[in-house]
Amino acid sequence: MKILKYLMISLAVISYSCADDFIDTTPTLELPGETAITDVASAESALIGMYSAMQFIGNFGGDDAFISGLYADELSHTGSFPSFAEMGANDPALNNVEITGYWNDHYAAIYRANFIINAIANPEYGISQDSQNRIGGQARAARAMMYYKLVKVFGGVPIILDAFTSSTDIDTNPTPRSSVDAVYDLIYSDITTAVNVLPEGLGLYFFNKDAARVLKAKIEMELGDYTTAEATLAPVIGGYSLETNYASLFPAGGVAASSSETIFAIDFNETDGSNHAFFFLDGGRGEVGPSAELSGAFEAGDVRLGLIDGNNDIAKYTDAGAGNDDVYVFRYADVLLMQAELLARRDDPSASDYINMVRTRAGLGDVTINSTNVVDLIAQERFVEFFGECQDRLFTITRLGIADDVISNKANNTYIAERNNLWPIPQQEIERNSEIGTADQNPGY
Amino acid sequence: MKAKLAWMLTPLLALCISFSYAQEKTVSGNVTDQDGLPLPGVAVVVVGTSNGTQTDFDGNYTIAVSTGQVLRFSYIGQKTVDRTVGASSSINVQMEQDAQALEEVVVVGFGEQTKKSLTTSVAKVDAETVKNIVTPTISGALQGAANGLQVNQNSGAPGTAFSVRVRGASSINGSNEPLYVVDGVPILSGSVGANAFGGQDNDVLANLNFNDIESIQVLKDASSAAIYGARGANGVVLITTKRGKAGKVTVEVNSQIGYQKEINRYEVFTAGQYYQFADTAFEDAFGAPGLLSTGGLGASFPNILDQQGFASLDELYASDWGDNYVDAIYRGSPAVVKTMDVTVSGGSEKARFYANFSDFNQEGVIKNQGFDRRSLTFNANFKATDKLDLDAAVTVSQSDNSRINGDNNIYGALTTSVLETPGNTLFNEDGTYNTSPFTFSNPLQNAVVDKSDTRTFRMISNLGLRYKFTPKFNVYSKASLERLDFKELVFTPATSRRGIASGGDSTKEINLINRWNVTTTLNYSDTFGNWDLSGLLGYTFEGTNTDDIVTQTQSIPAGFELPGAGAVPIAATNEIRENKIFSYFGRVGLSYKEKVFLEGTMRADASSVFGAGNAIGYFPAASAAYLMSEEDWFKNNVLTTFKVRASWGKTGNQSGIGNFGSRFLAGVTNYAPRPGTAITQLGAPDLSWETTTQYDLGADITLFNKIDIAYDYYNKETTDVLLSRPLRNSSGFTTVNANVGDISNKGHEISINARIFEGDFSWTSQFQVAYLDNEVTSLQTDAAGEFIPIDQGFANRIAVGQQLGAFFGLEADGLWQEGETIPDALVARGVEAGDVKYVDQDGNGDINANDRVFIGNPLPKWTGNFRNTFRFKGFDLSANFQFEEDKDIFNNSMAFGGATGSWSFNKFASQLDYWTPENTDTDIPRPRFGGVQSYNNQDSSRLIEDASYVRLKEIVLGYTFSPELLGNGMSLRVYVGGDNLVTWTDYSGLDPEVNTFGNTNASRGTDFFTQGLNRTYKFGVNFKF
Repeated sequence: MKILKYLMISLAVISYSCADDFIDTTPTLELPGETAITDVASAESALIGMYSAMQFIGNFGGDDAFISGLYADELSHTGSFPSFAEMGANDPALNNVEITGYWNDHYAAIYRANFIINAIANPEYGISQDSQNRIGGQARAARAMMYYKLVKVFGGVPIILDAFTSSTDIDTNPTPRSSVDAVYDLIYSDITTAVNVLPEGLGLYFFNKDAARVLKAKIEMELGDYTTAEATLAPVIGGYSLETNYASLFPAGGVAASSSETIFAIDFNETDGSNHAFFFLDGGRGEVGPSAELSGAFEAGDVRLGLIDGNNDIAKYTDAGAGNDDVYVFRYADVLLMQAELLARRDDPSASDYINMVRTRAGLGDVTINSTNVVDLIAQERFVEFFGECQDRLFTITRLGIADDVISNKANNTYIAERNNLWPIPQQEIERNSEIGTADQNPGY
Repeated sequence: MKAKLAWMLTPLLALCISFSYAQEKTVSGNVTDQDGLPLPGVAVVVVGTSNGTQTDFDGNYTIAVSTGQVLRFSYIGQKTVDRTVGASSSINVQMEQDAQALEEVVVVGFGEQTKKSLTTSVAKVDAETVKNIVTPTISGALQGAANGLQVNQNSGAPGTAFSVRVRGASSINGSNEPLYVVDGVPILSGSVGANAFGGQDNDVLANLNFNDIESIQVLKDASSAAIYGARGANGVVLITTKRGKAGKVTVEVNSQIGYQKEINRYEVFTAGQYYQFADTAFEDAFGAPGLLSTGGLGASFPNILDQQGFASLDELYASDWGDNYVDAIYRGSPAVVKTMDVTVSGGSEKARFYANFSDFNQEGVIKNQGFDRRSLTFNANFKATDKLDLDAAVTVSQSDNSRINGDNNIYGALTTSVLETPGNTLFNEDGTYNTSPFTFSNPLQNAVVDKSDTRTFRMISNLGLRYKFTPKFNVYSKASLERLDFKELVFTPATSRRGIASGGDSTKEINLINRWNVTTTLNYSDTFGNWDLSGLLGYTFEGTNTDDIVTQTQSIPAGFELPGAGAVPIAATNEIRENKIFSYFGRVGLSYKEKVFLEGTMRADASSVFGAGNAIGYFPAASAAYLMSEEDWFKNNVLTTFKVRASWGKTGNQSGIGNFGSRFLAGVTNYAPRPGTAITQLGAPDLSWETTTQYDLGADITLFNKIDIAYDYYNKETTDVLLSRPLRNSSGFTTVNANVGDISNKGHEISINARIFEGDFSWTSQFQVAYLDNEVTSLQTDAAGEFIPIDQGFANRIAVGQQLGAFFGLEADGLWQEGETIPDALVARGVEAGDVKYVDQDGNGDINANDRVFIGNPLPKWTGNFRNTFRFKGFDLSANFQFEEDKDIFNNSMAFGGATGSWSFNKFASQLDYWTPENTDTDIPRPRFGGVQSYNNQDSSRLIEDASYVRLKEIVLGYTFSPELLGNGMSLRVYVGGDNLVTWTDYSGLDPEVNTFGNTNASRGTDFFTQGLNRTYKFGVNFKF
């Protein structure tokens, strides 16, 4: 019996003495946040993390294409989500979950870009200037891209340049909406830096130097600075070639890297899939399909119509199961049509050569483009060339100033002119950001 | 040897002494229970002295006593008997069960008390009362049995978790489920699989055999639960398992068979009605009739009129063709539920044992559903020596659960059975599934082909040692090991609609959970004059280790199911999580003359989940009771018992923190495909448990010795409620973990148990009702000091001043009628007569999100039950009605299958009564297409329905054959009965009890095609020999 007594007493003593250590536990799939960037290798890891945020569904993961296409005249709603129906009817609720997700997912990527931009300059980490240029250049280009995607649909948005690591800092730094001009200033500054510092040869799945040039030229075109845009685009012209066959741009497995036309694409694969095919194809949810306006926009004999399949689905994405479909951010046809537009605006006769390269591949005859028909021809060609790809249709019609016409002519939608074809600032941001009140909401909402 | 000597010496001494003190003598006798069986362990004391003994195994005792002194016989659960010693040296006592219930034993944290000495609020459920209810889960049996508990079956699918709320809900991010403790050891509860379908979370409690349970007590107030510290805030369910009794070995067989049918089925439009409705919507939008029926919408829409060969649209509209999908997914014959349960138990004074084998098998009412469990239990108690007791138990079980895409899923069998385009056949002529005409998927294929099958193996074992230093002082130490292996295979073959895109998808999860617990308590009790003192001091340490592996592949060849057969690997994850807690606790109880009772407890918890800034949590409690009816001046024949109670205490809830919830973390991620990192969580070093401070005022009253009334008022204030509190979205993070909210739960509970007739014909009646007032009282504020609401589920919102997860949306005020002036802004959006008239709360002339208000409450204000039991000769009849009053459901199925759902969906039959210029006395809007359809379909009070109900939860008629007839020690009872035979409710969906979001806290009361409950007819036999 004595043995038992001692056993119990010793048990008590043992457990008492190790109480502090006892409750120690370690996560197996996370690191302490403080160690996220401490040197060049960890900064590279954080950069991968930033691209990973660009894969989010509200970013380049699919919703950006769906809700922009629905809001423009590109897509029709064939599924069940009320939030999609609202976008298709051009009457999104202030708390539309897709718009909120779009906002959140872009700011999530901005956070990760900010975290990198702010950390790599820390001398303690010993990151060389070359490495800072390579990593920071991509982060700035991505940040410019994110703000561009925000300002296009929301107008002026809060400019966030910090990556706060404590909630207190977030609470004590509410940020108002900036003006559209201020947002473009930031975008232009970031993308200019990126074009200057980025090295060549980063690869198609990363924000490489040519991708930065294309974005910079797009911004310049948005701002009406066509002369500078031509100069910016010049190094890209001739550096790529169109795929001979339009359909081969969208192979099964969606490997953009194999195309001679790819400038920058977001990688998706089986283990890290996109949502495009699942939402576009009847084999998936079939939530969105081509609009009647899109189907009716093709000229006779346009091979691109072949990418609308027998089920009336947009078939540019093939893997509804795992989402192994890359997403083009910029491809060479885009550059050619930008060049055609820039030249046509100053009635340079070679403009037609560029647009006709794209048309020829589509099996269509030549057109002559000049400053009088540039808007119509470019809007038409971009519509049928880039349907289902990112937000091209919405961005094009708003940039070319034809959005009011296009959207007010949609069937069964709500067109409210004072909205300026902008989406509402998400209700959540208004509720949570004391610097943005109901009065700061976009007009018409 | 010593003992023997004492036995020999006692009579000798008594003899010697008898010479000197003539009246001193030895009295012996036998104590039996009311059935005449020997009662061992009865305390026999000489009143006013410290002289006492206990009856032995055969109920015999011997004690030295003087003539004229009083012998007091007391035994827990029996009326205490006093006998004055007279001339006889033999006093035999037959004890009676204490009907007043005051002597009833109640299990409390780390001990037992009599009901009399209880100062806290504890609900006791005798397994005997609820043992015949058809449910695999303990929580299911608590429904309509324990007062102050809201128990709901979230879905009718077999094996589905119940939700249990003890005195309301006080957590948003954590669990609101009580802590389950079996024989003193906290066990795993809740859902373990990652792949739960909405409303169909599995529940590992379903692995416990209900028949092994002796009694269940629910610790409701903070004072009783505080001894469970940081895990006590949601109440504690203490489960006591059956043990062998000394005496002859008995064999008991319980067998039951039941037949189940769903209480309700959905009714939908005929094919003709479907086309008529859609054509009407399109005609409204485009001006031409019959657009859908005649293929006028485009090449992808067939001309149904020609295809089906109808002469006119009117003929088409009046016709029906194709299969009935709703009927097709249900099993043709009633679903069978079977229980077979065999127990062998018995033992001697030194060793008792209990052995049980049980098999429970339940078919689902929808094809391809089922739940099946086998379990083995063995436990034993040994008196190793006079001072050492030992107990050991092991229970092993395995359950298999077949689930389907039942609900909350656009591919769900129920969902598609309603929404899919009618007029199609489910099979092709060659016998394969017809898939092409369906918008989403073939409803029958969804039920039969896709699968989610789980297998749960569970072992709970423990070993306890009690060493009695003296009769007043002992130490008890218990070690427990629990193992739970959860395996789930979710498989969608290439032939199914969900699997077609991926060529078949197979996901396997294996979750291995180990849990261990060591608890040691020092127990002390003593008497000092009129004062009784008891004390308890203990520590416990516990750890849970979860090793979770998920593999997923696609492109599965025909004939295979497992991920190993897939050609394309999709995911392989493995995570190990560890969670530990170390605690000290103590309790002191003091009573004066068994009239006044005082108790205090304290627990200190150190837990691995607490933030670095809050290392240890302290949870104190105090309570008192005064049994006034024991006072001589009080005693009367009307108020035969009168006791008042008061308690106060603090409990905690740590379940919302997550294993590493307080830390600043960088998680792993990848891109193109390279490994990377990203900040995934902001740090919250001050993160701590949620604190619930509760006081309880109660009274226990017995009238005329017949009617027991228990009343409690409680006030539960929970502070530091854990939230993923909202952050400014533009910061890059939308939430961070924080202790910011306050939730209040206040309520009244009254429980009346009346023994209306006793004797040959007996009638007992129980009425219990609980009122709950739940309110969120604080949340995170924005910089302007406004509380930031949090939206949950479809239409639930967490907001200050409202019930947790109250429904939020537009207020609908019927429909616009012709002749009414519709505001310009709405006319611009196409709103006309027959569309929904929303209340323009802000008066700006337009309807938008700013016009939303609170439109309903998902938590019932009133819950309770009414149970009557009659016995006459061998017959017993009992009926239990259970009710929930004053609660709402957000019927989200209506947003899809209602008149305002998309034109492509089929509709509920009730929607035929839609508005037309001729049919204006309706609240169902007219068929619309496009923007106005979305406008009419917004979340609004149109979709809120009163879901109060009263249900005949169980009715059982039994007959027990007389022992004379059966002979030697046998007993036999047969019974017939039914569960859920009648439900009274106004709710239009399948069942007022369902929760699409399962066990979630703040998105309760939502129905999205959730499977309703079943009606069961059952027959059973209890046989014992």
